[in-house]
Amino acid sequence: MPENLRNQNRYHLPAAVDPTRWVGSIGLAVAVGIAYFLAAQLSLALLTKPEGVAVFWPAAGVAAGVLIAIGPRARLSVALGTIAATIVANLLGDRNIWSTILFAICNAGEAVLTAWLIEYYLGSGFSLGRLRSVLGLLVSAFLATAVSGVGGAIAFKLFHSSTTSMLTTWQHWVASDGLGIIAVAPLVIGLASAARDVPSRSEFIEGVLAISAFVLMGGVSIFLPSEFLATVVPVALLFPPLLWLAARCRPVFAAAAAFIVSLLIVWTTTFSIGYFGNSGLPIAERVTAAQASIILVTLGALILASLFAEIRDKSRQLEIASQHKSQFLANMSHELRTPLNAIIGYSEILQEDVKDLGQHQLAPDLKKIENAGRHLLGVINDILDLSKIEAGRMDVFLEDVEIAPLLDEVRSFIAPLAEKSGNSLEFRLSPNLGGFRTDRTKLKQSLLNVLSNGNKFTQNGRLALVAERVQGTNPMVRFIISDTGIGMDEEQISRLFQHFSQADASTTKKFGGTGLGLAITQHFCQLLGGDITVTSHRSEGSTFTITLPDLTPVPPKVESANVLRISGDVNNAITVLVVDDDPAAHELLTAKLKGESYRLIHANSGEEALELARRLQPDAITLDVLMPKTDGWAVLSALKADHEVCDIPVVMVTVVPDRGLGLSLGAVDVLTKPVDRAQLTALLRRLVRREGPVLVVEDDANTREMVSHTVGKMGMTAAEAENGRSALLWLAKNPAPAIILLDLMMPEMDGFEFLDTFRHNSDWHDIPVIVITGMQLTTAEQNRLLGQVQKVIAKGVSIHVDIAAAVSEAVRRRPARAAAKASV
Amino acid sequence: MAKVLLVEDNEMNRDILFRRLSRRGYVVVFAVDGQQGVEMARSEKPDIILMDMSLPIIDGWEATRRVKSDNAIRDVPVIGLTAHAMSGDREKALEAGCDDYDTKPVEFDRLISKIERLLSQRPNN
Repeated sequence: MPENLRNQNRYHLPAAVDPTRWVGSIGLAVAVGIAYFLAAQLSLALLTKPEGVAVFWPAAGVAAGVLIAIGPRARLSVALGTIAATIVANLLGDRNIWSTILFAICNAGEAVLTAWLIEYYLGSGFSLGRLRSVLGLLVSAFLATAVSGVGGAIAFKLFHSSTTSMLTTWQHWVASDGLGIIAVAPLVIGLASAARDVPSRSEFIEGVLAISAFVLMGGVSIFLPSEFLATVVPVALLFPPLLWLAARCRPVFAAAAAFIVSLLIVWTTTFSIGYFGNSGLPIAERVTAAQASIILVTLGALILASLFAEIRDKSRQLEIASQHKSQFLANMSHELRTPLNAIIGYSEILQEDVKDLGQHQLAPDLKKIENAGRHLLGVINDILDLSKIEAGRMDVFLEDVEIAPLLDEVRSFIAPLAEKSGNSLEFRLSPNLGGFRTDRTKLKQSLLNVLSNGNKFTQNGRLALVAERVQGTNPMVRFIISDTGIGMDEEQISRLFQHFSQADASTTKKFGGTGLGLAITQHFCQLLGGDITVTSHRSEGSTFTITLPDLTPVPPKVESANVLRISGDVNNAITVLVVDDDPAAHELLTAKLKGESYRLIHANSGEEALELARRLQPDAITLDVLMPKTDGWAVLSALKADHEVCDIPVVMVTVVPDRGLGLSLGAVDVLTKPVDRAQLTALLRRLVRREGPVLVVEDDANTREMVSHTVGKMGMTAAEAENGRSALLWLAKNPAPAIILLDLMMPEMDGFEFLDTFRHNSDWHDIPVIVITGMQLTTAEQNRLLGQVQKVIAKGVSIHVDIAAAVSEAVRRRPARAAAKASV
Repeated sequence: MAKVLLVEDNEMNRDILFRRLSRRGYVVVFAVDGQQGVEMARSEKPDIILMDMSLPIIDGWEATRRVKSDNAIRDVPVIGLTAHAMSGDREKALEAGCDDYDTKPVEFDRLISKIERLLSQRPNN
């Protein structure tokens, strides 16, 4: 044998006898065999007495289900397991040896054939979440059992001298094995996929509840007394829990529910109870009724579940596609702007050049290039704004805006445009307008959008802007912008603020523009807590009204705030400020946060909340929206505008959730009343405490153990590393720890070297480091640590007290700055 | 005449501002990334810095922070330049220590007036 061939042989041999593969295949065969045997025993126990008819044969579903879930590589294992189980079961039952062999081949064959037909029909992508797969299973199961049924009928006739006709035997076989596959295989497949992608706790609980409801209704239907009720009412009873299962749970839960109800049907048929056990009817009719019910219930559940899963899948895909679109638009806008900068910039340079060279006749053309470039830039900026709004990434920045100077800027921009269209421009400012708190850039852009829009549709007419204050509980500023242009009818107004839609498609051709300006303006006004409205009549012009609230916080009153209301763990350093005007809500929240050991401070009004937030610097704030005088949004805006408290995380708690507004004003999250306890505690934990273990980096085993023990006693877990290098390895492999406790003198890589590498990785920037050292640090060493570590603890007698204090301080998300203020 | 340090990574934008500022009589030196920008702010002692915000190596915000935390050059005014007049960019630039802010493509006359205003405010002028 040539050398290379021998090598090849040597190479191939071990693969053929790869022990792990064989052990796996044999294990699978044994497992399938046992499962098949047990399922067969269950079926035999449920044979109708005394006739011995099986309503369904779940064992067939076990074999087919395993094969479909695992794929063709399980074919041999499943076949062998099925054959072995059939032989054992039949020999126990004192059957003929030839019929046993024939049964074994038929049982194994129908599973293999079902899986093969499905694969042939669908490829390898069987999923309970697709209608095509479910229908494919139905067809394959009955085709395969129609074939295996022939073998079964022959076996009964030849070796058991059955008195029933071969056709009837064949019908029984097809019905019971086909049903077995349809009722059980989806459950096996669903369980296999649930094992790969484990459902969350809440998903599981809801699934079990829905199954229980479905099974309960199934039971009620079976045991209903009257025939009329039993034929009409079950549909009405089963449908609501079926919809629940399909719409809210994964298909495996529907499969499980259908299987349990099927078992219930078989059991009642066999033991002659309930509707299917009605002994007045002949056994053949009862079995047929039971089989029809099983297939209706099972197919109903599977088809509905797969349809809903398809819808859920589709909407998820749409969501992702929409996000991609927004991201694409944002990226694209950046790419488009870079060359535009060059076009505009160089056309300006050339204008200066031609002026210097005395070539004045070229200047107007260059100006046109510049203007076109600037127009295009405006369009791109609009698209970028809109994509940011749609992606929910538009931020609001509040500042005190003086109205009159802002309107001067707006006027100087609009005046040349108005002049060009032959429009007069009139600004009427009511006296003492002063300033108000809003987003300057967005207000200016909104006014420019509406004014240039009015100008675009008005020729030789009049543009007017009126600015005035609106008195009331919430101070507002109103801008009324009117024109004498072409106007709009009702239908056009209704489409006015939609993206990419001008009042009339034909206006795009005549007047140009993207149709984005007004949509953006509306978004901006709503982001700022106000709105824009319009009134208009054909050929009489339009009037737009922008109303924006003054987001200035009302100056705090210190009436009740002097007496602090504290609850919870009053000695804890971690403080949560609870703001609500309703005392009952305070009690409820206190009860929900029981066991979280926060110090809770209570405020009854927005004013009090602002005062307490500034004075006490809490670690987090929960804020009610609907409060008299200053409402939650105003408090939130005020908090975010004050640099002393703007980084305190705020959770909005409201009956009318407006997540968009909350997040854009700077809230961390918006929770709906009544607040879900788990959601609230998880959120607060994330906000006020660093999550994760404490990484202890120390070469001395005793010290390491002592430090870890101290950490453990604080209710935190410790991870250990014996030098800088292994600490870096640990950090690279694990999620970020809450804090790092670092020794300086260590072999291989000491603490200083560790910090040098550590601080270069931006992922680890905000992990606080506490140094624990026995070294006497030189000034140079102290300077080296400065800014890199939060605290240096000297090894000494009271070290575990120091560590506990430093750790509990370091896991606070907010550093305890303004400590003097924080002390109550 | 006043010396302007222009920190900008895009070659065409650099060329445009370089030529237009030179035409107005400014001495212009330039850096192509944030790190070089900070180094040249130290070595060239410019009278004013025009700082693009999206820069390689270290970005304009960080470069501005470093200029403003260096006692030797912290008095040099910095004008931040960003791509789009989004609210937030302005606040971010001012927070980093920029003395003023403008958007690209710049309105050149407005930029010149900002430069002149900042130069006239310098104590040694």
